[in-house]
Amino acid sequence: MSLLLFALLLLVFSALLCLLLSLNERSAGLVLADFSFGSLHLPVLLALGGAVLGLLSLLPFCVTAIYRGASGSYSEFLRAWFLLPIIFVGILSALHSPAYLDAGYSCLRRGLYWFFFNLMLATMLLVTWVSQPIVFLLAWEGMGLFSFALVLFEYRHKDNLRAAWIYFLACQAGGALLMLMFLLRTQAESYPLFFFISGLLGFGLKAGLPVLHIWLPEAHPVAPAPVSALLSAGMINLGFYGILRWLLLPGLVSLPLLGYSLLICGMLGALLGIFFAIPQKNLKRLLAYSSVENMGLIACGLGYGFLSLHWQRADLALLSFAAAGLHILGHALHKGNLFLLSGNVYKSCHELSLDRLGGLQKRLPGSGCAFMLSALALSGLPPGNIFMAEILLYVAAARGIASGSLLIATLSLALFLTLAFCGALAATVFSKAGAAVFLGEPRSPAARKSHAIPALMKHCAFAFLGLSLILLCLSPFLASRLAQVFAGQSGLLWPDDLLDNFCMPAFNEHLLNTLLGFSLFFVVLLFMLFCIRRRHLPYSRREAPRRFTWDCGFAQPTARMQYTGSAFVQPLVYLFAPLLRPMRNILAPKGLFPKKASYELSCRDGGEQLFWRPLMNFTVRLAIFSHRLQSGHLHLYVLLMILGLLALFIWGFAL
Amino acid sequence: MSTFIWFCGLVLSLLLCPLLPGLVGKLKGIFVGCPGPSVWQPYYDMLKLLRKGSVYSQTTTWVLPLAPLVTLAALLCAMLFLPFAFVDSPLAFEGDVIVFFYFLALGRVLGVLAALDTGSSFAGMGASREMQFSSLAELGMFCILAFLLRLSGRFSMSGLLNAADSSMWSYSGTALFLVAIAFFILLLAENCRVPFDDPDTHLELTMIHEAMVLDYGGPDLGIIHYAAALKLWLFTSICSLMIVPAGLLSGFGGLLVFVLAQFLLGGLLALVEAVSARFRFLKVPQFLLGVPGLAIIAIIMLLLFK
Repeated sequence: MSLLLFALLLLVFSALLCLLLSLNERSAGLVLADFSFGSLHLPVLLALGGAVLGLLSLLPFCVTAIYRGASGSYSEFLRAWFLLPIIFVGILSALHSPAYLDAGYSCLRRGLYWFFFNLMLATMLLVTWVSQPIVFLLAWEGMGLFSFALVLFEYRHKDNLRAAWIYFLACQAGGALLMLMFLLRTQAESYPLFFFISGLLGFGLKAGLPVLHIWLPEAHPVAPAPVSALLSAGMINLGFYGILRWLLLPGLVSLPLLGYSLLICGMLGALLGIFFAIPQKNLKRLLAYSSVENMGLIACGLGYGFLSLHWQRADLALLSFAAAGLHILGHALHKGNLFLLSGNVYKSCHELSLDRLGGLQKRLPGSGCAFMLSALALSGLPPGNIFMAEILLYVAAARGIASGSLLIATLSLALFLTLAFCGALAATVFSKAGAAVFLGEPRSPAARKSHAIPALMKHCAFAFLGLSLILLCLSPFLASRLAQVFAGQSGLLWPDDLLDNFCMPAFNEHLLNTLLGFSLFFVVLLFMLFCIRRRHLPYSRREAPRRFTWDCGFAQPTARMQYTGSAFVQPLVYLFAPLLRPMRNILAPKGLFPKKASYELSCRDGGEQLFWRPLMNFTVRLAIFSHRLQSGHLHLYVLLMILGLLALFIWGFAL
Repeated sequence: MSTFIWFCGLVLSLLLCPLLPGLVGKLKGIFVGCPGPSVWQPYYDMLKLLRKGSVYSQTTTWVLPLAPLVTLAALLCAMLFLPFAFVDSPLAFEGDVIVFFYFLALGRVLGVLAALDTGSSFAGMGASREMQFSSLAELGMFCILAFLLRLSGRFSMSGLLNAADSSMWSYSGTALFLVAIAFFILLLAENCRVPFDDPDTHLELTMIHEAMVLDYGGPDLGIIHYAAALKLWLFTSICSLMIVPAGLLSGFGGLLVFVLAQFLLGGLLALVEAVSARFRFLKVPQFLLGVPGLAIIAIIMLLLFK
């Protein structure tokens, strides 16, 4: 507790100090004159130091809680598990921020940024920490509000206002649902279903479950890159934290209900997320949809785990819980990295549209390599963190297919195929993103004139890669700890559902250890092949002559001839057209010497198109219809009142 | 002893894999009424390419020369899990199937990135088609895996492929037959063979795999050719191991049966290529979506009638 107090005080204090100092340009200038530390102003330095120190102070707690595993308490372990990504991504986002906000922002705005950034971190810590519902709700609301302020940071664009407005509504709706959940919690025996649904919707809004994900692709592209990283890697996970911490009341929420709802939401979310990531043209929007997919996969892991407990298949449950846990950490690191790298891209050429970027690998080699590695890892390819998580879930589903009854086999098959299809499409999405930004020739003057970025921004990416390597090596240990803790806790939560002779087997680390061995083997093999290629075969890349790309004899290749990201995915978009409903905007060439021609393909969000917009339209129509009653004639109102009273009377007597 | 046989199978696969496209070329030639190239032609081509120098486009980065190496390394890693000559791989573990197919996917993604690295519109076209078809093929592949999984109850490459002994053929033969057809279609699609892609075409606009590697030359292209041959060999091995009942012959007899089955499949491939023409690209997805359809029918048969 004292650790947390220290961290919170540090964060709040640095936030306030930063705000106060930057309120007045002159005082900021004064301290700047004395205390300039490189290019950092004193207030920035204070806020940065507060954030980094505050987060770092919680690291020992996390390490001990995870190390103790099953011998510690469940809530402490859970807290540590969800704190870890917040700590790492928080620190690296904080380090990334000064460079991101360097030029063109007034002192006051930077002060405000740090004020909200540190308060958001503080409330996120508080959310994972508190055990009183009322404080939790307050912290949850605060987290929403402060992040809303950060999303609104670029408030001058009109589109950003709309995005921030959607985010605000999502936060408030989530808060209201959670308030309902906590009210029902005191008498959950009488309304177990209402309690569960309000909780699932409330936390699902934060976690981006399907249809509720509407705010993710709006808020992420608008927010500054470090904030998007923090939102995507730290905050949306907290939705699952809420479900695991507050929704699992002993004996009240039944296992099959929990399992089925999470599994089905997860599969839908994963598929919808990745489908809608395919046609996206804004880099950060694409990453946001990929977050929806990953949250879906995490929900699949949790849901399948709960269902396996219900089926009395403890071995499957251990595998799926371990998969979900590893997925949370792996996704946080790599997605955080990609969002910060998209900040680098933005800083370098002030452009995020995939069809206008390209060729940045030559300008930003470090960022490009880091982006490729994280993108490959997020596509679930070996030897990455997400692969480690997915293979556990694959093995669980495979055991379900191989030896289950008809129902178990069918559900497992659905999960198995969802994983496979999501993996294949994610590879497409990320090869599109990586190639459109970093490879080929620049597609616009902005991309051609890209400039260098501060060193600190580059190094954040390497820190992320280093962390994910450590995580990869630790994954057998982490998975076994997670499985133990969940096994112990589920025995406490559902003593009636689980049979008397039901015993939890120990998690078998053999699979993950073997995988680590093979990954090492792969890397060594690749290195050997590389050496052979370089030493013993003629002309490696260094000394080979350079020519133009083969262009079929056109003789004047231009950057306009190469494939764009949209062109790359066009066949897939048309294949899934019934779901994606692409809108074409064609300006066909006319005449013998056409001056202008263009082709544009865009897709609206699925949740918006299929659910929210029809709902809004229906509400509006209902309102227009009921508006007729408001005729202004007094006797009509009296008649309505009498009819209402009559109806109440009849209802009262009938009961 | 059995490990030794497996190892022999592994080494033979590494040595013989370029023979398979050579055989296909020769037989195809005979089918259309000309002598055709020598069966050793792929070896000559590769040796020639390994001696040559290369030219790189000035648009490219490190991705282009790295991609063939990653593809080859991934294939070499993946092939360790196959039960060559009907002997369970000594490296098999539960879940190695996923590792196998994800390593293949890693090689494919790197190939696609390298194609986009050149900035060429042909390479981009090829890459786009490759990703579209392979994501559909992946769905079919995992349906087939699910079928084999239900049939054998073991989730390792060795377990899945050695499941079909002669008794299996007698009581779930129809389903197994459907799945074998489905897998053969996938084999054609994944290896860019004729109804899906024509490896011998000379028009860049109609190619998939060949369009992606237009900008390669010299040793890199040699490595790519070898990797493509190895991939074809791995897929035909899966097909032959799946169809031929395990335990037909053991020891070196198994090895012999394995290699014979490989070349028979090569003959079948040549037959398909000789009698059919390339599909229109718009037809390909429909054909590929038939694969999960077939596999799911097989799974339903297995679930209901077993």
